[in-house]
Amino acid sequence: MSIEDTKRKHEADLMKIEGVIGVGIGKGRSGGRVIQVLADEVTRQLRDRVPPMIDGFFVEVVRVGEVRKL
Amino acid sequence: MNEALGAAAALMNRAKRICEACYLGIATEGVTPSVNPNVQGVGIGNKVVHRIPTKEKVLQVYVGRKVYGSLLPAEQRIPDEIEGVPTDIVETGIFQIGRKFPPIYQRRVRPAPAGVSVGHKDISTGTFGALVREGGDTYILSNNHVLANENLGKVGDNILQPGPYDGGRPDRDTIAQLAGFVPLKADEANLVDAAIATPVVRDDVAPEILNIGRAKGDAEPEVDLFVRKTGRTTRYTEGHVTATDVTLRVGYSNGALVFTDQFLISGTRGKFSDGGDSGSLIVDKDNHAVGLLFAGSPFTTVANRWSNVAKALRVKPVS
Repeated sequence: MSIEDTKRKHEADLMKIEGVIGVGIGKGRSGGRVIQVLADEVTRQLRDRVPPMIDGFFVEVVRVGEVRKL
Repeated sequence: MNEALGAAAALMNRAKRICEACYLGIATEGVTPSVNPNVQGVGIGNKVVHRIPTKEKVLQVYVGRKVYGSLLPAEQRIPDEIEGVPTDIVETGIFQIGRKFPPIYQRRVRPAPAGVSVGHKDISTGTFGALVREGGDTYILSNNHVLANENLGKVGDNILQPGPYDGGRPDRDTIAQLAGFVPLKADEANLVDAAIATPVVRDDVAPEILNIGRAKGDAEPEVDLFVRKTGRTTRYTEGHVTATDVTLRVGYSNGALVFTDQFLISGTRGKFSDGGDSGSLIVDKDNHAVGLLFAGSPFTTVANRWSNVAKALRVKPVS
């Protein structure tokens, strides 16, 4: 399964985690493509609840702050 | 010595009060107030000769523009001395309360290029993103929340340039009328925050984006793609795409709405966008349309994918 399909399949569950505002696909710290879990604040509890890997793809938590219309 | 100084100061103050009465219309005992339209203010300072301040105390009369006395009607000329106190005319320009003359991004401009302030009559302000066409018709493109007030706008509503926050008024600054919008949905995922408005006078809008030029064609956002935009608040900025295929919640007036198939941008030097930049067209280095800016946070900017905007409104950039 592609990273896009994997992300799509799991995004609803990931977005139910408290503090998670979104999910996307970006470049990871090691340079490869990763699933990004977007959070307004990154807390210890949030890190503990986000799996580090889903279906073979790395998951990274990214702090994006509070996103509003501009 | 002190007495002499005190007397000179008293004389100076009296001369100043007379000046205030004669030129600024401020009531003073024994003087009939009048106004000299050229005089912006009065004060006490050192006389300046050839740009060098001297030790001589004079009555300074501030004017918007300094002209030869002989060019003025006799009653508007400032005498060399008033009540025995020498005068000095100082060119200060015209004082204004609050802000200076606003930059092009935030003031009325005709024809209006893309990248300037625009907004529905009932909102604060946003950005005129691009001039687009559908068949033979030309439209101003921006966000639903900029041109259609988050679904509350009615087709035909006045769109102001500049937007209301920048002083735009319906009676004199209406540039377009709301033509259509993609409704924002609270119960399902949104693809775009987009709307179009018909210019009242076609020649009052221009297809060039300030600092960028005309958009031509389109491109898909990819991680690391170099992008740029011009917007009402942060003006011209550059950045790169940090994430694609983004589904996220975005705060609106009545709560959070979910958007899907979005992308994120990080600025190269500081913020890529801020409040008021909503509606900016995001292009790549070759001016291909990549996205429509609509949301953000202190750390990121969120944009609709251009192909979704083009599909929803069936529009293309005017190039």
